[in-house]
Amino acid sequence: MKSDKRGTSTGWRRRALRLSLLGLVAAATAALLAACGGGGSSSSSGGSTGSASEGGGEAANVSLEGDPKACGTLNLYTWEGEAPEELLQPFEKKYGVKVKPSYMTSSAEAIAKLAAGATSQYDMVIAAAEIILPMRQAEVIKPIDPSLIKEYDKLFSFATEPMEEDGELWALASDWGVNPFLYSTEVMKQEPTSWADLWNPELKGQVSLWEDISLIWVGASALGMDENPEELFNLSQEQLDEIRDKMLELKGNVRTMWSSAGDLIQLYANKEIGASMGWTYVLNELKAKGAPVKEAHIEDMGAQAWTEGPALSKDISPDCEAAAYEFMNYLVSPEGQAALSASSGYTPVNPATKALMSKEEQENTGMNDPKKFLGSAIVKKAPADPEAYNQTMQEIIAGLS
Amino acid sequence: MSVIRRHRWLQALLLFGPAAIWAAAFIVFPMVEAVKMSLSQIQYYHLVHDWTLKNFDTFFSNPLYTDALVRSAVRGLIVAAAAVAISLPLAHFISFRVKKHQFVWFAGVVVALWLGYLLRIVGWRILLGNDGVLNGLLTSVGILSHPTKVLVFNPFAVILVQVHLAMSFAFIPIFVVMQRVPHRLMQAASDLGARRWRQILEVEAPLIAPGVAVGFTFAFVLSFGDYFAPQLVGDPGSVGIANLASSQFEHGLAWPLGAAIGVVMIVTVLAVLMLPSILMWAYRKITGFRADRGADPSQVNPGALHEEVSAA
Repeated sequence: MKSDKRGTSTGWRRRALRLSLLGLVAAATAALLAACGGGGSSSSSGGSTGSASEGGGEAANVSLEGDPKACGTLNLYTWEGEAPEELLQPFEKKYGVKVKPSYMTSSAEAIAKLAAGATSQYDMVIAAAEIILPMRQAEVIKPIDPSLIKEYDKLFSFATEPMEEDGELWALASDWGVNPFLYSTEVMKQEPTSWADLWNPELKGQVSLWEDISLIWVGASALGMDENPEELFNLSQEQLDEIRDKMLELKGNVRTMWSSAGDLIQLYANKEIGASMGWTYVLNELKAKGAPVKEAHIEDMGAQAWTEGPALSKDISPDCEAAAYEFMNYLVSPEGQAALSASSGYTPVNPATKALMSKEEQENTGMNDPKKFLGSAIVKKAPADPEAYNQTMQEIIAGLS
Repeated sequence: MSVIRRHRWLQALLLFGPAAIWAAAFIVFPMVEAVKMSLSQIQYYHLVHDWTLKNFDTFFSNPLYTDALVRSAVRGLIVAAAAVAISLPLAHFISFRVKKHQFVWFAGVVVALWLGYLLRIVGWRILLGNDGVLNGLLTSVGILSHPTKVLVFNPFAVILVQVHLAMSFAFIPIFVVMQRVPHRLMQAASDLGARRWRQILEVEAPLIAPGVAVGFTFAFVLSFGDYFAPQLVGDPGSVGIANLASSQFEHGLAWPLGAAIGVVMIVTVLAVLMLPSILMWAYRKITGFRADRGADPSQVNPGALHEEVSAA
């Protein structure tokens, strides 16, 4: 019958269309999977296969064959405040190469991004000593030839040495510092003398911690574990659990976590918190705003010292590599160091920079007495078991409500 | 007859092809890759596809993750319920009470969507902050002697902000279905003696139920997967499952665990979406109720309506 035939025809059409749609989706998916490949240990890293136990890397036999001017734009992956116009403009003017900075919020983010293929996006990445090993293991950076850095031998050795591994230089130290204990003088009338002061009941709801593995070092210092510096980067699970339990005693004091300089600046500027882990850059910005925030000079700094500088992306082109060496030479020259330090507030690695700094700048950065400024602080390195440290960090953050 | 008209498969290809390719590229393929990654491991920052359930075992054996999942789900249900509860009377008012310029009222509700998601969250942080507008107002009128810190960086602030973010998404589907409710039905119910609450409950509610379900779903999914509100206006304990998933990629380089968390999130959302259907199926199984059956004639009292009207 007509209506039956129409009903059957409609049902057939719907079934056909449904099947066609499913078939198309399946075919498209299969095509995409085939095109992108799968399996193997190199599919997501973009690096070479085989053992990556020590990261490998090319032999340090760089020759500057490229033409810096042909580079055009040097893409720099760095931290906020470390690529000011005062630093970049003289370089750009002299070499005709534009430096384009992008900002990271954590070292792990940088490694993740580079390992996922961003090595073709960035020519240089500012790498701290604590991420040299992970970056080598992820095979995202290549060695630097120190013989091509004119002032390399004049730089502070305690800053440059942590960047060397297995006889090769993996990043050029351009600044260093100590992540301070920041506090509001309106909340804490007396200057803190130890990380243990964060546990003061008077700081209830006033503390902010950095959402970073560094909060483990705070707990380690509070427990006196930094008396054996090397052990800090090879803590056992029992020791990590002890640190976690100690940090969870901060419950009630911790109001919120911060993950970027801007975040922490806003927290202090709006008087949301009174004490925190911090960065010198944040302190300088708050001072410029007239905020009543100071840096505490504490005895048990622990693993809060750091050194960092540009590393070369493994996919950098020869022209940009030549430009990168020019940039690195400029960066560690006294003029470059003075410009970087003036913006970031971090301490230069070139002792000759002192002559170009005002007395106030020397005091703020510790350049008047670098060894004293470093004090008891330990330069951070990569932990032996990053998964365990990360797990502990997350348990601390989740438990601090 | 053209070639296209003659071949149904060609019609299907042209009609559904672009959408199918889009769905495959941006939905199916990423999900397949996420599942694949969740069954892998990281060794020296390289992904090793060894088809292991270790990541799911880590997830379900550690209360850090299961608590965050439950916390996010519960928060999602609260936010969805609140967003729907606010949207319903608002949509009803605009649909049935506003006679002119309904679009202006509608635009007034959804204009918040024009602003950036992050911008709105930061705006709330400024509004509720220690030095914020609300504290300023409360101290200036004398309600508070000094600014209070209880307005922000706590679970309440997260829920408040998420309700604001989700409200527009809940409101739109509810408003759309409410627009389709014939006013004459409500009038007929009124003429037959039904009170206002009965008109809403027995005439309007069944007709707008699908829109309410959709609005609830949108609001739940938004809150459940939200990353920024817990981070920017919450305390450390407000960490949601989305924050933990993100953290595996940002801080821990534990991508397979992050992917496993993502897979669990997808399954959770699907389970919540299917819950009404599952409950309805169970209800029908237990009671034998069939929506397509009319009332049993032997049980109908023809005079019942007359008696009800007289009683009213």
